Amino acid sequence: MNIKSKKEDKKTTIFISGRVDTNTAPELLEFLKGAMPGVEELVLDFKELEYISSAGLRVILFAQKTMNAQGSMVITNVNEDIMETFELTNFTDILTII
Amino acid sequence: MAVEGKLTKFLNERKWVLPVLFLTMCVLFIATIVISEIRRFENIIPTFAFSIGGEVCAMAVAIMLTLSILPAYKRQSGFIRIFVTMLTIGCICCFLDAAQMLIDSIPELAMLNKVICIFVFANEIIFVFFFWLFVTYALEGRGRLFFILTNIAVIGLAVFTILPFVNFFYPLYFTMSPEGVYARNTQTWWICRVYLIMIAIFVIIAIFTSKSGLKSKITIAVFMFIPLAAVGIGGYKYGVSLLYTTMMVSLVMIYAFLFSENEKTLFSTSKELGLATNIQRHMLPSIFPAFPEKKEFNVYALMNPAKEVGGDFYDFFLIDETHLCLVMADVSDKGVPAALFMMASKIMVQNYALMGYSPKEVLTRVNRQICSNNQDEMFVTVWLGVLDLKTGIMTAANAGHERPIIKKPDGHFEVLKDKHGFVVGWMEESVYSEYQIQLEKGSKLFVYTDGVPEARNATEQFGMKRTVESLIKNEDIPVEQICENLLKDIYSFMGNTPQFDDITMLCLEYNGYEQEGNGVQLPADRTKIAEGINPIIAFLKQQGAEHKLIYKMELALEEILANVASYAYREGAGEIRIQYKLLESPRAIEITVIDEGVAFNPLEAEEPDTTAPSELRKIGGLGIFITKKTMDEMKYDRRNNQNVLIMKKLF
Repeated sequence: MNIKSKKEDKKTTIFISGRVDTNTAPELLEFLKGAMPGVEELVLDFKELEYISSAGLRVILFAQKTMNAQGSMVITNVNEDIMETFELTNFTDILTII
Repeated sequence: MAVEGKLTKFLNERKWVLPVLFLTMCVLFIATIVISEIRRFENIIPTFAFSIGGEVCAMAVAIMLTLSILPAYKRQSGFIRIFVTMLTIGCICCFLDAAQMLIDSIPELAMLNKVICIFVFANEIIFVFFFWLFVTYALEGRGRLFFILTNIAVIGLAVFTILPFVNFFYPLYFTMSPEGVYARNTQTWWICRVYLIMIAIFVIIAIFTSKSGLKSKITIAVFMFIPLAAVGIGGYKYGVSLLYTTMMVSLVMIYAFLFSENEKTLFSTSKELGLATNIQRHMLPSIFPAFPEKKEFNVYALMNPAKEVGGDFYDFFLIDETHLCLVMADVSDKGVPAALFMMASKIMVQNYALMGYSPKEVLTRVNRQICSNNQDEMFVTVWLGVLDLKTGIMTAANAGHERPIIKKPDGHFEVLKDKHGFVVGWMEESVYSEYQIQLEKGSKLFVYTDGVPEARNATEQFGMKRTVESLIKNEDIPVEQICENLLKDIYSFMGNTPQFDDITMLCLEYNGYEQEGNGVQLPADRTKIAEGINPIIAFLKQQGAEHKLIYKMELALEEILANVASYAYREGAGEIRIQYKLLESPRAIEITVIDEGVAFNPLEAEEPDTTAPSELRKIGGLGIFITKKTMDEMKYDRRNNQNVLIMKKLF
């Protein structure tokens, strides 16, 4: 897993690539915890993300809950596999995926 | 040849025949010597003494010869029994002739002399008749001509055996003076030779018409005319009775020339027959279990031939790793020609099957090939099936053979009303069709030849009903015992009735297809779960699985392994074992995850509410939920203090 972020005023875009699994999810969680304060518009770009497991979903859920309180969060460029996981778990209902 | 047949049968079936004949010869021999000792050779005509000496010698030779034939007696009964009977009758002739000469000219014994003389004449006729039987045997005389000649010989036997007894009332052959002196009735005694000459003519006819070897013919011809020559010489000079002695000597010579030759060929034929039987047996696969490494099926087959070499055959072989070919066939004949035909058919069927032709194509081709060069008009019925071990689909074709009997896993053995084609080897244009049967895990198939339902006892046939009943009675035991028990049932049904046809059967059990299982072991550590996932991903890629399937499998595995690694071993470290294998029909991957941690059934874990808004969503239980959603089948079992979770995903 690799994480890059781009900050423009109140909007932060985070590029996540590779795999978010049991072992890498804590790292993502720590990164988000550090990156989210003061952000009103969070974009998670999944263009390079190949794989996400429930550990990753939990981090996404945490981020969504946090952003619900301070602004908005969108997820972009979700691949087919990950989309299916979102649908399976009804994450599509609570996430904004564009 | 009813008389000859009955006689030979009598001689063959009675065990006491040989000992009685042998003892008779010994008694006659001793009796002749004893009488000679009592009578002494005083006042005896020198030619009588000469003849008696010859006859005693001939009897001794006959006894020695019988002793030497003893071992062969059991082997080649008909021929040798007639021969020994001839020797015995020859001995009786010698004895009576010698006795007659010894008591000749003794007035007190005139009546006895007369009786003996009559018996000498009668006995001679019987001897000649046996000589004829012997000739028909030696020349392998069959057919209409031999039948007629033998019938005439039988009538002649009756007439000429009774004729000497006329001498009680009328001196047809001889006169007996009150002094007890024998004298030929020169007017009519030649009648006693009519039968001998008649048979001599028969023998000449037989020699000319028989297809037997030249050596047999010459031997019989030459040695028949030695006694005739003796009659010629001795017949005109009263007192020199060489007939019986030369007869016996001829027999000895016939034995030396003919039997030694016959035994040589007999020995080699029986050896070759044994060899043929052996070759045939070895051609049928008979080592069980036949494919111990193949878990997909069990097969057992047996053949009990009626004659030494039969025409039935079964066969089973792997065409490739996943196709098993089964053959059950019955050649229309028995014996060596049928066995050769059977071997050729078997090889042809196997060759075409191994070339990958489907059952109907195999039969069509084998039929064409056999028909193109089948002068013996033999044919073979064949049931041929090819089982796809992966799918359980049996493709079969039937060329006039008995219907297979099939058991579904939850049913009983039932006769399958399959489509029949024409027998193989009869019509070149025959075309065969094939059909398919789906065998499921636990299905059984039984094929057999007509020797099974057509096994007979004294009153009725074993029949299909009993066959199916016997199979049903044993349907849940291994295939080997199903066959052996059916065979036992057939034999106990038959009782003492001899077996007429080969009894051949084959039973197959299909166990379903399972890829060899693979396994991986890893510590129950969240950071190490890739060790459990990666080999399985690699395996799936190698099996050509789609990306989607691999992705879902990876996801499910991670969730389950992470769960086990996090919660199973609350105190200290533990291990996780994973087994995985491919399943067929339908194609799927099955993964078993085993840990020895605290009992936990993930399938009963509380499911997260996936409809709640994000604020209310809990983070627990999501992994197992994903797994359940992505897998097609999940099973949990707690056994031996282990959590065993089986996951299945269809391809």
